[in-house]
Amino acid sequence: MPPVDPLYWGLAAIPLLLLMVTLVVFRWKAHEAASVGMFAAILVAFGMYRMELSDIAVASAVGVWEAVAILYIIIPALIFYHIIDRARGFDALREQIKSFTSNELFLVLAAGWVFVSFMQSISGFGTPIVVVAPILLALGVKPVYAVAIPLIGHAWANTFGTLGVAWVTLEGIVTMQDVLLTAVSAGVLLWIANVIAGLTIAYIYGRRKAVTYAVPMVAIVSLVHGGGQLLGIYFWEPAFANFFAATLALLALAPISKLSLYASPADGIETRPAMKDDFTSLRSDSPSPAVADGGTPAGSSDTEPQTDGGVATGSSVDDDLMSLKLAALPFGVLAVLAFVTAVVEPIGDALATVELAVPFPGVETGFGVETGAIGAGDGLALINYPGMFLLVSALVAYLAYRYTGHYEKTRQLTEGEQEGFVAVLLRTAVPASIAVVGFLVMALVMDYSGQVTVLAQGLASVATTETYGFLSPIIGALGAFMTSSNTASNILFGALQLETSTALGTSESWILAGQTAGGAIGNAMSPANVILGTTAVGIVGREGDVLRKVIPWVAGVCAIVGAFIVVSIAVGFLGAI
Amino acid sequence: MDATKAYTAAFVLIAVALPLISYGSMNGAELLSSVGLGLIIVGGVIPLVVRYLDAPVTA
Repeated sequence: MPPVDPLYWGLAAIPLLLLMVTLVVFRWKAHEAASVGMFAAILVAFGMYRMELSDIAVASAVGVWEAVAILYIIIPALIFYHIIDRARGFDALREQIKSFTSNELFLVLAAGWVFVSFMQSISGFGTPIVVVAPILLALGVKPVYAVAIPLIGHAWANTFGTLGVAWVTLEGIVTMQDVLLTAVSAGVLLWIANVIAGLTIAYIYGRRKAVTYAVPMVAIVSLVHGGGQLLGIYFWEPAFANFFAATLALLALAPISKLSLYASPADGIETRPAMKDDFTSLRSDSPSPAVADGGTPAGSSDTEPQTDGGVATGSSVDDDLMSLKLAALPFGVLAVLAFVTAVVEPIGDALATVELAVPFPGVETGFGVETGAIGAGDGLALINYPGMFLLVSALVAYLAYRYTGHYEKTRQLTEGEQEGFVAVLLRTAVPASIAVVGFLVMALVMDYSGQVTVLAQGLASVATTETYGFLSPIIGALGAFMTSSNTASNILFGALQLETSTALGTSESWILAGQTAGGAIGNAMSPANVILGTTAVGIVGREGDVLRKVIPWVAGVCAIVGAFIVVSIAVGFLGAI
Repeated sequence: MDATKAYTAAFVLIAVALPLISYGSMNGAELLSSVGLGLIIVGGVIPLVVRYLDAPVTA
C-alpha cells in the first residue's frame, strides 16, 4: 500500500481538487474539466504511486469500458427524449397535468421528488434523472434546477431502490453482525435525507414561504417514503422496501392533490427562483423548453428561451396536443419493462444472458496495490439494461405518435425548420460522452493506483471512536462521487468502513449504514448523473452550475446524517452494535 | 474550429483505444497498449485545445 501520510493524501486529492475547481469555480464545461482531472490522476499515478504506463493503459481502458455502460443510457435517453419532444409530448404532459391541479409547487414536488423516487425504485443508473429532468423543464422549471431537483429528490432511494442492488451488494461483500439492524439503521438515515430533500426542493421552488406551504405534503410523503421503506425493510424484504414505499407515495399523490391547500395555485409565494415563467400562462405557444444547443454560455440567464433542435415552438392550437395517455405511454412502457425484468427472474435472467464483454488483465502497482482481472463474467448486459428499455420505449412511442399523426402536425407548425435528428444527437451526445469517459478514466486510474484508498484511509485515520460516525457518510459520498454509483461506493469502501469501525470499537451497524447512506446522498453530485441531466435538458457545459446547487446539499445532508450517527452511537440508539 | 467535429474525433480516438488496449494487454502486445494509451491522451487533450482555440482573443 502507498503510505497514508499527508504527502500521498494531498497528491491523491489533486485530481479531485482540480476537477472541482475547474468545474465549479471556473465553470469549465464538463468535458474540459474531466480532461484536466484525468491527466492529473495519470500524472500522480505514474509519478508518485509507482504505476507502470502499461498498467495505466489498462486502468484507463477499464475507465473507457465503464463509460460505455453509462453511454448506453445517455444516448438512448436522448433518443427517448427527442422522440417524445418532436411530437410535442412534453407540451402535452404539461398541459394535461395542469388539468389535475394548477398548483405548481405540488407538481414540482410530485415530479422532482415522488415520481423520480418511483423511477429510482425500479430503474437506476441515472434513468430517473433523464426521465424527470425534461418533465420538470416542461413544467416551467429553469434548466439548471430541472437537473438539480431530481438529483436531490432521488438520492434517498439509491440504497434500497433498483430493487436494493446497492444494499444487496453491501450485504454480500461484508459480514455483518446484524443484517436487519444495519438495514434499519440505513433506513433511518435515508429517511432523514428524504425529509431534507422534500424541504429543499420546496425551498428551491419558493424559498421559506414555499417550505411553510409544503410542510403538510412533505410530512405525508416522507412518512410514506421513509416510514414505508422502514416497514418494508423490517417486515418484508429490503430489496423491495423502496419499491413498496415509492409506489405508495405515487398513489398518495391523487388524494394529496385534492387537499384544498394543493388543489389550487399557491397563494403568497412571490419569489419563485426556480421557475422560468408564470406557470398559469405557460402554454404551448410559449417557447418550447426542449433541448437547447448544448453550447449555452455558462453565464447566460436561465430565463432565456431555450432553443431546441427545431422542435415545435409556436403553436397556439392546444387541440393539436396529444392526450395524457398517449403522452405518458413511453414512460409507462419504460416502467413496465424495468419492473418486469427486475421482478420476474426467469425473464430477467434470460435477457441478461446476452452480454458484451471486454477482458482486461489484473494489475499490480509498485506499492503492491492489486486489482483483479476483468473477464467474461463482467460483461455489459445488452438487453436487460435501462438503455435497451429506453430504446424499446422510444420505438413504441415513435410508432404510436407517427400512427396518430403527431409528427406531421409538429412539422406543419415548425414549417420544416427542425434541426436533423442525428445532428442534434451528435451535438449533445458527443461532448457529454467525452466528459463521462474523462471522469471514469480519472476515477479508475485513481482506484487502480490506490489513490482512492489512500484518500479514504487518510480520512479514517484522523477519526476517533467518537467521531468516526461523522466521517462514514462522507467516505460513502466520496465513493459515489468517484464512481457515480451507490453500489460501486459500497464495493469500494464497505470493507474499509467495517475494518475501521472494528479497529476503533465503534458501532458496526451505524458505520455501515452511514457508508451506504452517504453513497446514496453522494450520488446526487456524481458527475455522470449530472451529465445525464444536463444532456437531457440541453444544457451540456453547465454542469458546474448544477453542481453549485447540489454540492452544498450533499455536504449539508452528509453532515446532518453524520451528526445523527455520532449521537445515535453515543446514546445507544437502536442498540448501536 | 468546428467543436463538434473535434469532439467527435476525440471520441473516436478514445473508442479505438479500448479494443487496442484490451487485446494488447491480454496478449502481451505492449505496442498496442501503448498506442491505445496514446490515443486516450490525444483524445483527452482535444477538449482542452478546443477550449484554448475558442477562447476570445484579448488585445
